[in-house]
Amino acid sequence: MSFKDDYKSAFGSVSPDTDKIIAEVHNKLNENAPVMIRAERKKKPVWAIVGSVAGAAACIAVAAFVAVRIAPNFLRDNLITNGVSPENYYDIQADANAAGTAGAAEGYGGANVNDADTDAKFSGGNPNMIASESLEDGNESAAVPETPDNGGSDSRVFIKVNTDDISAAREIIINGSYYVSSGETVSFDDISGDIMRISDIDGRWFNIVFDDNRAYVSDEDWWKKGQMICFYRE
Amino acid sequence: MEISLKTSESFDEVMRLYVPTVYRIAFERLRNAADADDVTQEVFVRYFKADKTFESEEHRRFFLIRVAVNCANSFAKSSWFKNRAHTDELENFPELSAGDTTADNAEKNERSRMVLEAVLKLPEKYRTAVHLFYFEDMSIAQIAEVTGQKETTVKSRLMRAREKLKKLLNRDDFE
Repeated sequence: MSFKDDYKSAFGSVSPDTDKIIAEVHNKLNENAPVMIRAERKKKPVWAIVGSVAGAAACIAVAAFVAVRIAPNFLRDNLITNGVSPENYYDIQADANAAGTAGAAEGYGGANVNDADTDAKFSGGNPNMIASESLEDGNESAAVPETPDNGGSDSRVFIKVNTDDISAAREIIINGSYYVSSGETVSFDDISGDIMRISDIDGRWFNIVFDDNRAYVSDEDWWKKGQMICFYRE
Repeated sequence: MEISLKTSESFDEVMRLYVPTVYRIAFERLRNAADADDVTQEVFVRYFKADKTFESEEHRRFFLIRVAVNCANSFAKSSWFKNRAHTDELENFPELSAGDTTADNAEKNERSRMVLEAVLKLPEKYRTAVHLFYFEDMSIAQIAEVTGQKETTVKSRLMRAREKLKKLLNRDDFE
């Protein structure tokens, strides 16, 4: 016998249990048979649909409110102002527009900005601003309000020096605050001759000198034509 | 005439005809009866699901052999198979170890047992080619087709398998 015959004989004796295998195959096919009857999908009640829509609308409204109202204020107060107290921060562009209106109405050169500022308040400026004046050649100071509205216990008056360059304003915005102790009766005449030292957000200090009821930016490097000196009450 | 599962004889008849063929291919590859059982079942599940139409009975046979080779290879590559302790399955074949005790049959059984042992000792890459060539009487071209190998590869594997078997069995009648 050849190898082939022996091999066939040898492997011919390797016999499976055919019946068992056939039964197992049938079992496997039955296990894998697709389920023909599918559970009926539960219908969603109307209140659930209405609730879903309302919920989605509420989420959108909240997201929009956060995006439009809260986020900008948060960023402005906590990031853009670089830690400057929000209560001392004002919208520079609005102030500049308002003061510009005031200046146009009254003209420069020692104009009494108190009167003009009344207009400014109505033209979109910060309602807390009580006086403002643009620094120009021949008018390098701003008149200090003679009668600041600081009655009662509210005796804080803020001064802010802005720039006419709005795009750069955020970088050089000055939020210096000059205030007297609560309860003291102080008029701005009393500060004549004082030097108020304030800093910009980059930490550069400069002086505001009060003389003859006018506020001067004393530092030549800092002084810039078109800058605004604004006074605010708290 | 075309043959398909649905138009020809019943599924059980096909299984009864080809289960031994598929089982032996799985067995020579895996050297384990239980594993060969599993692979055989898987082959026929696939055959049923494929619901193929065959040009001839030979076409169906080749299809089943190809699926058997692929399934056995996949099974052998599984981590479960690789990490498991393997036992000597030859002890489980009573036909080879007992039976007729006449001198002729005893000698024949002994020779078959030696052949089986020698073939199962071959590296797996040679075993399938040897089995298909010597047991299923397939040509080198047909083996190449069902195993997805080149004919030259099949030819060289058969040649090396014969060389090894020559040493193991001390015989030279492999044509």
